[in-house]
Amino acid sequence: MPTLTGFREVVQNLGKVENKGWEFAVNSKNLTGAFGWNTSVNISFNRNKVLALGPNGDPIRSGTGIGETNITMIGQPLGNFFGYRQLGVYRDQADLDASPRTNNSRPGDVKYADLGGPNGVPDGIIDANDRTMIGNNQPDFIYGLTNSFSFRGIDLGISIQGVQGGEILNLSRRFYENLEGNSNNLTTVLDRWRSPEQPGNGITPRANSRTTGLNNALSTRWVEDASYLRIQNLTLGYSLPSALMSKYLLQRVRVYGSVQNLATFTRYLGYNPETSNYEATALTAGVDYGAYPVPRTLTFGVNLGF
Amino acid sequence: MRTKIYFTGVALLFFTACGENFIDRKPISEVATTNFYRTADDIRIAISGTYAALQFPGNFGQLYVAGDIPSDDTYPAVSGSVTDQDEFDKFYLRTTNPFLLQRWNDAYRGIARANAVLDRIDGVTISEPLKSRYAGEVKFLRALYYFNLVRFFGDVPLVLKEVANQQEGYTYGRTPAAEVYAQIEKDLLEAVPVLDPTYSGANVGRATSGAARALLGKVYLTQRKFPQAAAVLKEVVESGVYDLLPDYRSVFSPDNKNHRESVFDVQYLGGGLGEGNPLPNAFAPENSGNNVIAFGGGGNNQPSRDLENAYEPGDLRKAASLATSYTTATGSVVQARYSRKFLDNPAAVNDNNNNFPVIRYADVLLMYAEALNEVSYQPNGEAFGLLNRVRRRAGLGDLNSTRVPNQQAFRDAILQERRVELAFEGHRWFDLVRTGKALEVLRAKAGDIGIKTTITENNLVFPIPQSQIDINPTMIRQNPGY
Repeated sequence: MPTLTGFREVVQNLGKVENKGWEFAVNSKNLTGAFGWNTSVNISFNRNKVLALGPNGDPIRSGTGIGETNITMIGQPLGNFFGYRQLGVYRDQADLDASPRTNNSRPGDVKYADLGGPNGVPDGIIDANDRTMIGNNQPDFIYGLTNSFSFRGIDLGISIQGVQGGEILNLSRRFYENLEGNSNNLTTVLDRWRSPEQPGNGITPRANSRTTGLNNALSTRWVEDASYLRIQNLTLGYSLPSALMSKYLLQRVRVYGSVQNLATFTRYLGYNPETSNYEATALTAGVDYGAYPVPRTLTFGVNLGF
Repeated sequence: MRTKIYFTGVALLFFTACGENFIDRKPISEVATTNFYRTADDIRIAISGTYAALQFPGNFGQLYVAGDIPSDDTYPAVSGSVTDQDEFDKFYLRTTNPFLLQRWNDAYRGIARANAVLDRIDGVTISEPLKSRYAGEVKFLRALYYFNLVRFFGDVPLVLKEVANQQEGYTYGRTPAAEVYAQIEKDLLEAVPVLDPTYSGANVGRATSGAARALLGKVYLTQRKFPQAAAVLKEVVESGVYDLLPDYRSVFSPDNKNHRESVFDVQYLGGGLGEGNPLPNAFAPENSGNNVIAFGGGGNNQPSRDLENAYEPGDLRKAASLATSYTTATGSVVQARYSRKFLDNPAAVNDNNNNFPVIRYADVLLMYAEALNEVSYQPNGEAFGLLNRVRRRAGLGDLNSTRVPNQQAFRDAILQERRVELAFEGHRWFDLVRTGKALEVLRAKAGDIGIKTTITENNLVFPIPQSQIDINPTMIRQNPGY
């Protein structure tokens, strides 16, 4: 709502959201003999859609660390990322002259898609009217797979979980790739535009202590694939034979070692593709703004049963 | 080997909205206004809330982003928000810059609180003259919030009563700046006769009649209504309430607040109450440990070399206002440029006891001198005396009409004196704009202060926050050039 009212928001039930999906789970005892093997698999699909919003159906814009980052509108899932769509980098002056641009774009600055204007039609000028939906944190499906094996007192369990589809907004990279020479940057900026002859990877703009051309504006440049596969847990244990133990008044002795968060396979450049810094509202999911990494935990232990 | 497979669960979940009544509930976590604004004490609390909004970052808590950084005085911290404050310094503002929205939101939060009091105070039993004074205080604050808005954004929506519901919020478009100024003058003129000239005890710090007159003088000056400005500022000077403190440094001391020189301050109180002043920490150099101030600094609002050089030799205000290095506990000297005007020894970060001056008597004297000079230049006249009072306190010699021989020279002398006297108090940018000097001064220094674009008249007001246009595009339009 207009903040000239003195309020940024009113809390009311004004919307309708639909969640439709499927969940499947299979638990299987593959082998039950001396060598035991159990498997459980689950996979779930959810499609989330906003059906109604407020009296006028106006979209809800939500901010996180750097102002508006998300938009929620009818017919779309909750909390789409909202920003510019990067086409590339202006390769040279001729490219700049032939393309829509901001009022201070230079060769080597980010080339954005001209999607709108004051009247809703592209106007050859890159400005706030050109922002659009550039991704969503909600995955296509999530899945998990747990296998457990047992053989003569040895037990082994492996849990894998994963997420497929969905994007994450890596806002931290807006700092780590700011190319302003005022802080350390990621090595990804080595492949930046340097000259028409050395255009770099075509995505990373030129270095400039005073950014022009909206280079660091919220755009697809910071939106990454949030898919991952993670070995969540690996546990190996050995239970001493109970006959041996019974004379020491022990029912059971098991020694084990376990690793939590063993490995994550992902293309995400940040620490953790599962991150979401602004979970307080459902409208700003999947924004990584300097989130801590998830620790890898090693556990060794002995279970004693009397 | 035997293999057994059990399907233990195939779950199909199919969600749609459940029964409407089950989900559609009124929020129960919010305090309703229906039980408030009933007693004199409720009104007193609501007025405290209207004062409290002064501390908001978009009002005076981070006034430097609007008042100092765009000027030739200061530049922002190099780290922190990547470009957000730099955009104000070098004039390449995005309309989505969060500081724009913060200024808009925080001013309107203060205004909404003022409007709520003014709409409801008549329905509450409060004895006169307290009721009138309460209304006057709130009108003063509303005028101050609108003054900040109109100087910064130009035309702004003029909301003068409580907005009943969110739909009504969409009915407000931008009101021409002249009408906003007219309302500011009206509020202040109504406030002057009902406010007390001074307060005692717990009421110290409330808006006085002198504060309303001084603000009105500044509002007139901003609109170039010089005779009116001179008349109302003369009343402040002749009230006998105010004087310059002998020691410039003590004006900003955390141990000496609401003194003879304070005309209107944002009140802060250290001591873990959540009422502390954040600026002393914000202005101390980054990574300075406890060497400048306990709990270190943020390196914000750093003085430019140009400001450093603006002080005349022997000006006592320079060392009290800025520094270019500090010494560590081990004795090594670290180069860092920072404002040291507000320093305290806080018990927690951002919990300083210093007040922030909105208007102080030195400002009044200089405004009065400026208004007199604009009405007519008088060789060695009253305006010289006012200017020289401020200079003498700073350890500087008098200016006379040999050195300042005409009206234009006196304008320049006043602007220069205001710059060094009021540095880091959020005045410089607005002074440059209202005196018509902003483009001339900033273009001449563009290279030194890193402005790469050619600034134009359009840059003299800042863009309306993009979100407010997006929310209500038919009523709220952008300023030209953004």
